Amino acid sequence: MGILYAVIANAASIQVALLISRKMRPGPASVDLLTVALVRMAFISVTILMSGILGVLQSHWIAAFSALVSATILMLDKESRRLPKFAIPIPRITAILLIVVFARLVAQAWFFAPYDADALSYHLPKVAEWVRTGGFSREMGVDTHVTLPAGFELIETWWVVFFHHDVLIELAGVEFLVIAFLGMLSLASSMGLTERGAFIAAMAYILTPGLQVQATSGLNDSAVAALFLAASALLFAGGPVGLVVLAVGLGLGMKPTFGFAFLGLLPFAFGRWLRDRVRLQISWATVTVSLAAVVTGTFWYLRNLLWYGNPVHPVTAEGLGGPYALQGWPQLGSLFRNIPSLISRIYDRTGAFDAVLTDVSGWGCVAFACGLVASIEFVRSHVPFRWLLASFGLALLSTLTFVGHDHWFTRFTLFFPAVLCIAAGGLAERHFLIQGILAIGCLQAFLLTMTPVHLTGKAIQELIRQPWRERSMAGRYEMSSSADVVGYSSDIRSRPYLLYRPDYSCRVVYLRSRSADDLVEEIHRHKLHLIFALHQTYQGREALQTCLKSGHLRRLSGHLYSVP
Amino acid sequence: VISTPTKSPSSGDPVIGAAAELGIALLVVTARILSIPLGKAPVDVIVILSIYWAISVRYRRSKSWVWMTAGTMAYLLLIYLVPQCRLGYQLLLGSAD
Repeated sequence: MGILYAVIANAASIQVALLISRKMRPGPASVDLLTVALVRMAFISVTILMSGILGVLQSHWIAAFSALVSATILMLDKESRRLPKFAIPIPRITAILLIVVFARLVAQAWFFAPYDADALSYHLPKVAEWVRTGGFSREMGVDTHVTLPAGFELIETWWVVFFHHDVLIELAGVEFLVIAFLGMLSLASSMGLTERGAFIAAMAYILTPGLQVQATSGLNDSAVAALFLAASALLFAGGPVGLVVLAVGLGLGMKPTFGFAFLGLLPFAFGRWLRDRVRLQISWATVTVSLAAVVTGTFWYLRNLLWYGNPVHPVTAEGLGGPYALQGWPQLGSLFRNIPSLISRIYDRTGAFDAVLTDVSGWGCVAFACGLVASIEFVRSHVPFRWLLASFGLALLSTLTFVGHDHWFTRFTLFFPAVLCIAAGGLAERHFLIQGILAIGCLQAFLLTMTPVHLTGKAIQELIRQPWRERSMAGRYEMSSSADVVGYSSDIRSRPYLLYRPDYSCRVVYLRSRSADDLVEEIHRHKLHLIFALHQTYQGREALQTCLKSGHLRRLSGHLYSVP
Repeated sequence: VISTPTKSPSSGDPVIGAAAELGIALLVVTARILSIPLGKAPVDVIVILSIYWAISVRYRRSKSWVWMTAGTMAYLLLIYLVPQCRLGYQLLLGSAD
């Protein structure tokens, strides 16, 4: 039944997207397709949000709602009964390459199980709690970052809720790579590239190693980059204001870093508004997408304001301290530390690519070797490209000012290689020699992103060998169990998502006690027989040792303990 | 539509641009071998791009422009690829697991 529900819901999302795209008539075919992809994302986000709030986050309810939407559209709109046509003449070689790239992404989504520590610690436990309880729950885990905006988790939930299983959860990231591709097509066309050049640029960009690795990792930075590109593409193509607002709303709902980058586009947007004297065309389609933008863009901030009195809880003006620090305010000091660090990381030679891009930029070979040189030529010869480079440069500086200096800040800059790829694509479309160099760069990026560094060697072999129903990294981290309920007590990032199991058949009870007596009381109150405990602080380790000495806990394996 | 320089009439020696770029690449490689800061990252790329900028202004309308541009790209490709290939080879063997 899950597959049937998924088909009904996905069909409705595409139907809504096609209808709104047709009503808004945004422009050329690439912008039309981008609109369809964005509106589909908005439909998914709003549907999951509403289901979560109403406590009906279950496959049959979502399918019933989707069927109702589909039926209404088919009854009221005759054009929806015909198959849509999009006239994008895709060059044959590009079409083959596209199929290869996306086929690999789907294969990765199938064979990879969630593996990144951040995703397993504070992104995905929310998804697990929502799917298990059938609605938004106050319990989201014990990580400091669990309350940050969760727009991307809504899309992940969509790929999970119908099957009650996480085997396809990585497809959420792949969907955003499609948006990035369409955004690039539109943006490159706006820069005057031919269709062939635009396809080369878009292809080169989606093969950016950082994007490729992120797309199947359960993290949201590539999604933010894709939405930033979509917003830029719509602005530079003169698309409807409602759609720009939608891209911004979706982006802000994903992560505040979208806002940091979008500041760079504001001068251009304002300039365009002054020059073209853009008039808002009020139609039901514009109102619908604007409402969706407001809902998806503000929900998490309003929820935090209501629950914690701070829209960006737990980050304050002073930032967030601890091992996973976040900067609370723009700082010039960060900018001056981040710029040289970014320049030194652009070589990507410090290590292999991982999902959080530790000490590498993830911009890849094409942006580095072809993009930098081509940009010099384009800046000289092409005025719109100067605007684009200035806007993206400003966005980059703004982002580097807002984010603190650490080993992973470059993942917030994944939008910038787009501008370099456009320049590279522009030169490659004319010169066979440059095409050859670009092809080598793309091939290298493709080969080096087969598996992220955390899934090389034995890890990926273990995953492939597991049956898809049980595919998980739990065994690798000694977190496998057959219990129905497991307690989780930890003061560092310890991947609690793995305890839920891929089909969410295990309930996880988050234990927040730090003293031995309180911990024992909490364990007995919840009638737990198995707990996972890993502590870094002296207080936490002391409490665990006391429980072991007093016989309240017995060590099983790794960090799993039984309750006698 | 973007106009790229190859469509423009040829003026200047087509060999000069490519030879100049090759000279710069050799200079940077030598500097790297001798551990002179000029050859170290990221100075090497800044130097290469600055000189490319300067030379391509003069030879933009010559036939050698494409060769010069492709040469610069190929050089940057090499300095990016060599450490990456080494890393990829290690990963393939599983030693970086």
